[in-house]
Amino acid sequence: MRQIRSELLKLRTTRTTLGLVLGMVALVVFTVVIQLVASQFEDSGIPRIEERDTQRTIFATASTAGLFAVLIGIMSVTGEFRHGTIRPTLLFAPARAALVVAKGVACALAGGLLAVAAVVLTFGIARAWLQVDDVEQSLGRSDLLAIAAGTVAATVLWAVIGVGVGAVVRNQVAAILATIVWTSIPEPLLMALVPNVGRFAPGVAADAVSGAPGQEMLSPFASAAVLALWALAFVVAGSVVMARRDVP
Amino acid sequence: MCVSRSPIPEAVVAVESLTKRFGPLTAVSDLSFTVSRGTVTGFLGPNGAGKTTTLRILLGLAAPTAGSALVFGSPYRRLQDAPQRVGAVLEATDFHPGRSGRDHLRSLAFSAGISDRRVGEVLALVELDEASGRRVKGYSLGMRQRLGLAAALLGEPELLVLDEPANGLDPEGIRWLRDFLRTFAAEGGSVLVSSHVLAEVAQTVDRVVIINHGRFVTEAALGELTERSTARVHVRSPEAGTLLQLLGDSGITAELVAEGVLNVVGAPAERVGEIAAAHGVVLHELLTEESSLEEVFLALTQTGGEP
Repeated sequence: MRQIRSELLKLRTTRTTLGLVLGMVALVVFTVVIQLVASQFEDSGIPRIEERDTQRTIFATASTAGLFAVLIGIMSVTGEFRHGTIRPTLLFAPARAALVVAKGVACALAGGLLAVAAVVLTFGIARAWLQVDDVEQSLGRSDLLAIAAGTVAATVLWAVIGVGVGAVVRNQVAAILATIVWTSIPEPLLMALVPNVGRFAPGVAADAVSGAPGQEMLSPFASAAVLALWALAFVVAGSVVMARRDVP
Repeated sequence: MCVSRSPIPEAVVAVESLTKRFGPLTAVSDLSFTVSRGTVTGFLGPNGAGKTTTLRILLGLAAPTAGSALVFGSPYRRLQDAPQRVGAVLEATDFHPGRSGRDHLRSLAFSAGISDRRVGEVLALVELDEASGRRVKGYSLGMRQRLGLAAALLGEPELLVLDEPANGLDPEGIRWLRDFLRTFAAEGGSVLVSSHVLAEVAQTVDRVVIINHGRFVTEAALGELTERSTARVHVRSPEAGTLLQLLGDSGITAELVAEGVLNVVGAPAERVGEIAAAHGVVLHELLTEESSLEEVFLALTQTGGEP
């Protein structure tokens, strides 16, 4: 408990978190607006705005929060190695696995808040736009609730995964690059070539949880379970590595 | 400082047969020493001697390859309420530059269940209360050293472990640190402080443990170390060659260092004078040169600990 409080304080007391929040807000607004504008054109090749999948994609933009949550998780661990604060941190909290878990919990909370902000922003802009344009909203209340809940769940799990990755990799740049590269190249490739395997990849599972449309993905609930298993695996790996490896 | 009188052995730090290898490199080799309660012990050796590695193992940051390093009879990572018993500073720069000094201390205090009030106390103690709201980025090295020390003091520990705390401090800062550690020890605390310059800690420590190349060289009270300093007798004589011969006959080592100048080791000035007088050798100068503490230290670390 004490350690969670300490980790939450750490998240609040640098400008890193604020920067990530602002970055997320900017990216969400930009992406939502771009998609809304693009879907105005009937011949753009992009499905038109009346279509259910188009609207689903737009509302699922809130899942952008996941990227920033994984960054918060990674940086909460790698930042300590980068600035050397890991030394005082471990002197005050020598139980290393407990430290990783506390960071996981604190970042999960931060991720949850991030997701709520992204959902409010995305839904607000998209619904207002549809209303002004007098476009029929094809997603029902339960669809929107599912997207919102899925986004929060996926973002929270992303934050936890970030902590685990950070604890295993330690180097900030390497951890961030590895995560972003992995989710943007091998994963989509795997999904395209071997969907039976690809659908279990964390990025694909997270998309499915957040309600993004897509073929051959697992159901949102199954995907949530898969993502939760990934989060658990990373936290366990991070705790083990943390407990065993020397700290410089 | 709050010192609990527990029925624990007198050694607050016990390093025994400690060895640490990094791949092919042996950083610490079969090192043993202890720190007794209530003393200030200097942990000395040149840069790269293995001091920091030893302290990292002692504080549970690194695992020993062999042997053990215990604080209060237990490995640091298994020590109950470690921050309330041991305070340590390993690097003067272990802060997030964008976080304020006070928030840095609060984050550590939270994790050990230490109150906000205590954070204010240690800030006042190291004279940082005014700067505590500013981001560490703007702190001078001296201020960072003191912030590190403030963190170490949060739990009101009975043992302080400091790695090169005088590095980068100006003379005033060094004096401040010396007075601080003296007061800490006078109130019953124990201190293990490392340095690569004996002079920095000579006025602070009661005992020294000297290591080199990861190996134990010597352990002594500071006074004993001074006694070991070998005095040298400087002799100037127009008959230096003859005197050299005579000293040699008496089994005394001497060396002709310049035209008419001898350096004599292993015999007091009186004895040299007597030998000269007995043989009617004229002396123009007869002078005892005490080697400084620093020279003793350098001599020990240049010869000691070689594999």
